Order: sequence, then structure tokens, then C-alpha cells
Amino acid sequence: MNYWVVIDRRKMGPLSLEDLRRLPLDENSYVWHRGLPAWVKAGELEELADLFVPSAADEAEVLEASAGSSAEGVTEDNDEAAANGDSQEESRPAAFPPPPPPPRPNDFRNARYDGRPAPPAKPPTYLGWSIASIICCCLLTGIVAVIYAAKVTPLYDMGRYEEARRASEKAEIWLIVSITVGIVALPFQFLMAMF
Amino acid sequence: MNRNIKITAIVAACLAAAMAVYWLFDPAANLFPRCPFYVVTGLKCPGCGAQRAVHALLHGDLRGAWNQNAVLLLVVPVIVLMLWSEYRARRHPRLNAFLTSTGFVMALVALLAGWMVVRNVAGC
Repeated sequence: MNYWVVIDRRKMGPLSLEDLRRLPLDENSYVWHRGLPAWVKAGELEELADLFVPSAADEAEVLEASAGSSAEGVTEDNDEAAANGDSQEESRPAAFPPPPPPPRPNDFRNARYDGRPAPPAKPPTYLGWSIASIICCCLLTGIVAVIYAAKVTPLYDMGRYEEARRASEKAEIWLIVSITVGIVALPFQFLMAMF
Repeated sequence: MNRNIKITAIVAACLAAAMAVYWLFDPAANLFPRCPFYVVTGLKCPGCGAQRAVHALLHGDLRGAWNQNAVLLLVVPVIVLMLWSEYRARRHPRLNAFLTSTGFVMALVALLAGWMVVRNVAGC
């Protein structure tokens, strides 16, 4: 049987059970194979249960304790699992398998379930440049740039994306003014130094 | 990506050239740009002495740099950290949030303003 697995938000597969067991899985890694309607956590898969030491150790003890007395119980479980798998596979059309459904971690990262559109990317703050411009050349224009630059993050965090974008633009403009003033003033600064 | 590498290379080249100039020549003894703010008002701004401080720093003279502009030595690493966090550290959102928070920026501006007052009153 082929398995697919999500590790570090990346989907891997198809893998054999042996390959799967060699990967750094934990109980909450998502795993899928033919016959499963959706991704399940690795901890829920019987064939992987013994990989997860703390909870699996308890189970193993229970199994060992009951192995002599009720070996029938275990085989019954296996039969049941196989029957489930069969029935699910039979209920699928012949063109099985479909591509695995997208893993849930990706869903959480890319989409919001409340139906609102995803927020725009945070505009640049230019804070470092603005403070550098205060020190390097232009006290007054640099201060204006810092004032606008400082507004960007709070506005963005409040969800006022449009205002944050405009503050970022203003900071950029005043930064350009600072640099321009600095460059234009440079010859005069040399002149002043001569006298 | 290619554009980023280009910009980084240009910035690095400019920085290296500027450092070479400030390493070779002492701004106190040579023809270097004067601060127009100082010439006009006679007041020292928070960045006054930056050129001499950079010269001292490039010659390994930490004490000299401190004497020229003490706050500059404290603020420059913060500026570098801010720039780094804005362009390279999308993976450290909490650091970026702290560095761009109103409180932190206010504290930084207050430090620079206070430094300007102190150095003009006490003459350091």
C-alpha cells in the first residue's frame, strides 16, 4: 500500500510503509492512504501506533498482557480493519485513487475560514532608514520620516491596511527628500568646510 | 532574487568605499562635509561627530569614538538590527513587531532628543 504524509508542511509520497516508518513522524503528522476519506493523524493509524513511544508503550503493555488470554480479540480487530478498508475501497469509483486531498496545515496557512479576504502584505516601515537619516544628514526631514514610519506597524496591526500603506508611502517620500537634501547639500557642506 | 543580489552588491560596494575613505582620512584634519545644521544654528544635532567617530572606530579606537558621539555607538547596532529585521527576518515576526512598536520607536527618538539636549548643554 502506498502512503502519503505531510512533514514540515510538505506533502511526500507515495511511500511504502517501511519508508514511512523511517521518517521523523509524530502522532500529529497527517497521513493518508488509499481507502481513507481524508488525512488522518499518524497516531490514529494502527500500523504506525507502535512508533509513538509514550502512548504506544502503554498500548503495547496492554496488548502483551492480553496476548495470551485473548489472542482472538486481536485477530478480530485486524479483520474488522480489513473489512472497513475493503468496504471503503469498494464504495469508490474504479478510477481510484484520486490525488490526495490538500493537507490541512496548508489550508490553515493559506486560507481564512471566516470568509474575509486575506490581509495584504505589511508595507515596509522604513524605520531603520529614517533613523539613520536623522543621524547621517537631515535632522528635520528625518524626524518627519520617522513619524510616518512609526505609524505603519500600529495601523497595520489595527487592520487599517490602507492607512498603513499611505503612512509607509509618506515615510518613503520623506526619506527620499532627506537623501536628496543630503546630496544637494553636499557641495555646500564642502564649501563650508573650506572657510 | 537577482535584483536583490544586485542591490546588496551595490550597497556593499558603497559601504566599503565609504569605509575606505573614512579609514584613510581623518575628518577632523581634512576637507570633509560640514553639518549645515551646526553651521547655521551652532547647535550639535544627535549625529554630530559621526564622521570622526567612524574614523576612530575603523582604527579600533572605541574610546575615541565614544568621546566623539557616545549615543551613535549605541544606536548604530539598533539601526542595523532594524534594517536586518525589515528585509531579512520575516521569520522573526516578534522581533520585528518589537522593533517597530510605538513604544520602542518613541524610546529611541527620546534617546536621540535627550542626547541632543545633553550634548548642547553639557558640551559633549
